[in-house]
Amino acid sequence: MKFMMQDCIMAAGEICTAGSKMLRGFRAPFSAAVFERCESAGMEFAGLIPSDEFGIDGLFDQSDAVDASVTAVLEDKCDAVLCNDVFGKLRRQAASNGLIYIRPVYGTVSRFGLIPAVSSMDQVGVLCRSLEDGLAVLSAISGHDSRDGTSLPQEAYSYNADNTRAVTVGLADHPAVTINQTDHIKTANAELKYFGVMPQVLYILGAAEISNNTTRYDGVKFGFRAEDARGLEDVYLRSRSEGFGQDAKLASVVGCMVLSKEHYEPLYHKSMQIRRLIKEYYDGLLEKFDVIALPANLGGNDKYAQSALYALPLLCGYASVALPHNDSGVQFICKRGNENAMFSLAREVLT
Amino acid sequence: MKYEVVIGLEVHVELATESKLFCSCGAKFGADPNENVCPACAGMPGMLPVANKKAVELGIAAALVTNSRVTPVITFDKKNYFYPDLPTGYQNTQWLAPICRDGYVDIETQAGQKRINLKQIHIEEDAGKLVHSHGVSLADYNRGGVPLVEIVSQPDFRSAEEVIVYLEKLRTLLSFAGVSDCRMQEGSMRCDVNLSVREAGSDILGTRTEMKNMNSLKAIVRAIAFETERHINALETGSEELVQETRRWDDSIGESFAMREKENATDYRYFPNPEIMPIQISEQWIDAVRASLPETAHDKFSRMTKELSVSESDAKIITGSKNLADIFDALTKNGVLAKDAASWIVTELLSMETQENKSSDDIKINTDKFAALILLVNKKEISRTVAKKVFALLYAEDVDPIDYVKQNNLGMVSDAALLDGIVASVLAENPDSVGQYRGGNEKVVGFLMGKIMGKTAGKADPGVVREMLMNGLAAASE
Amino acid sequence: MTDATLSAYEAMAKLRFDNDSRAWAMNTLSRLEENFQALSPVDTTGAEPLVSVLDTQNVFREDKAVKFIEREELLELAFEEYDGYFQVPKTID
Repeated sequence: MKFMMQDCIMAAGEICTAGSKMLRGFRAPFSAAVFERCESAGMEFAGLIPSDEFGIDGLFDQSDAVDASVTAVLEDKCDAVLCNDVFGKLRRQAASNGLIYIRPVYGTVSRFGLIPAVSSMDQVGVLCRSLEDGLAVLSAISGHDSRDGTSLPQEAYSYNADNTRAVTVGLADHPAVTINQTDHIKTANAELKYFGVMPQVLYILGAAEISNNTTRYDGVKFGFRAEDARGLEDVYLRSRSEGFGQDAKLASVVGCMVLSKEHYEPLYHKSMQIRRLIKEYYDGLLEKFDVIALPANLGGNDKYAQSALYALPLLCGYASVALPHNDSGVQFICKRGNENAMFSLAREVLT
Repeated sequence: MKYEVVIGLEVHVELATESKLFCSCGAKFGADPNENVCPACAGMPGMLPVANKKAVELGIAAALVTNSRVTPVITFDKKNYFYPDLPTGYQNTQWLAPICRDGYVDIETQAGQKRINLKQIHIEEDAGKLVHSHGVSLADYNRGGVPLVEIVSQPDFRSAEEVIVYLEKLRTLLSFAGVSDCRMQEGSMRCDVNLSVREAGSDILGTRTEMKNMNSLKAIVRAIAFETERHINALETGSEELVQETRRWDDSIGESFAMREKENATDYRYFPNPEIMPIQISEQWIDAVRASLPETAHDKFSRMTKELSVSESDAKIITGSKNLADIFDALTKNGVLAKDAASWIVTELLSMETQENKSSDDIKINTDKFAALILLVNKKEISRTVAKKVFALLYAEDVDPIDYVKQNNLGMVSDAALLDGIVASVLAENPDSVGQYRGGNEKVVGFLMGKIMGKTAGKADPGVVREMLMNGLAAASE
Repeated sequence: MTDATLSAYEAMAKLRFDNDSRAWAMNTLSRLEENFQALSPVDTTGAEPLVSVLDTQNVFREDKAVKFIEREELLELAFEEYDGYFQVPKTID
């Protein structure tokens, strides 16, 4: 099996920039845990793929270029790409392009060696053509890593898709999601809450963390420094103004805004509280259903409005799999421990 | 008008860990620049923080020795600011749930006992160090990420004296508990001074200014004096308007300077670090840390004076420095009597300190060899005079006293035939002194003893020599 | 959202939008700020802020110093290196 990685995931000696000019020439001084694990599982590394800048290009506007990782799999350059699905873009694009994106539960795959964007949501996932390939890669990269303080203690995980398994599915009440009942698949409409505030919570928390994770790129120590910048303030200002793309810059500014003394309580603190309410509600819903099914795309190009669709795994740490289904594609979402039920359902739908 | 100065302190103390707070780089002082640095503490991406358990335990120890209330669940937050000594662009600190709150430290000044209340203590990462050379700045990140505790007092101080006594007390408490070596000269203990002045008797605080990163007691005293004067002057004459600000103390000039406006207007954009899991501190854990605390300076003083018959003055000196106390313990462990150990430390070792203008914390000596030397004297294998010479060599060049005495044939001479001859010759060479003795002047005994000891290069057993001399003088008087 | 407010956040973030993108930034930020108002009616009374989705506690490493990388290797990544140091822009006058 051949795997590639977005260049936000480090392979020792390779230039890994997370798609940012700020990291120009940054040659990874060590390898990511997921890279080591794929290699030791006997997979063949077929190179890095340019990521868009910190995975957030187009976050604040209408552009939606097809991600280079999606193209790489479509062009058969590899069987799987390890990616960081920052705001759900890869799930959307995979499902729309006939591919599969598997996002594991937060904490099951080590983030050691991942150039972070949103630390509380980042999770290395697998973009692939076939579910079986994806599960093989996922099984290989999952498991405890003492170098990641957010890595769950379970040593190893084994994922499979047994399509005879009984699964209860909570459906979004949306024409794009049509899952047929069978003798082992039970469906019912699920009551989805908080979708109206998910974009706010996602953007507020996400921008703050991106803003913080990218302050280290400043032209002072390594990476890009603006030419003929003079003096410390000039080096900071010009390097960061020239080195970051528009979305990264705006994310930084939004992050500063929501964390500023004036806005911390009403925006940042409140978002963390709503994130708690969301998680409590959906933890409960995922007791009732093994899997929740949502469309993978609603059409239209307003990323902000659509972000609610991708928010649950990000805000709650759930696993998800996005796959082709009808026109829009479908996303399944589950809690830790129910992944194999979710993959079984995916197997069923793909068949 | 009478004025009162009101001071609060923020004391930063580096924790005595082997490794940094959130990465495994070494944390010891004195390595070559950037030798103890990994991609994480150099601000490069891809590594994740994993908390150092020892640092938390030392934080608990700091809470215990300052009578503080340990927070049941502690968390870490990110404090954002741009500066080249902070390569990540943020410092991990404790903004919402610090290690402990509401402690106190009792101090003893000329005026009597006083309680200094503590607002809180929090654990955080130290920043790197910048040095300036040939028109550029150079960053050394060895210290970046080293764990420290910041001990925040209430504005309870009313004089520089109280501040100094408090800092010394804090240093004793923390160094004996093994929390930190508290070496101001190496920067492992630093102090921010918050100062305001008000009319005596008023309960409204005046405008407060802050002087950061003071790292010597002398500088702190001078800075407090200067800043107090400046405040009073401003209040009395209206010559300048006092503003709440951070000021830089320049010890070489002896003045404080306002920092640029910008540095005072920072919004640190604190927020909880989602990558550092909360740490629950159970009562059992606190008890275990309490049980593992070494003897306090106070307890050691009591034990030395009550059980080991060390004089109060010696015990006070030794328990005033963790380093001296450690040397004392090492000597007694090696079989030296407590009394002897104390007197050797106070008389001989500390005279080296004075000669070299070192602090008691800096003085270093091989305690095995030191003990061996004291035992040689006790066993009468060398004289005290010889011992002093050997001690100086042991201190300066780390010579082995047993080998050195043997190789240089410095063992105590008590051979009667040899000493008899020397005593006789000294008496013969100094007829005047003998005459004076005969006339009732006993002071000459000391002079003659010196002459005899001189002829034996200090090696003679003084007891034996004295007896022979007295016999000789008695015979000459008949 | 005024020009001055945007400038204040730019100063915090130590970056600037150029003339071509400043209007876009301003518009987007204004829209977001307005949209963020939607949070205020949500009743969060008693809700503990969620910092991490994990509920693990007390994740530690033992206090052991381990060298991760040789200094020379690390400094190869430096923008400028001088005698074992990261050379950085002058910080004092």
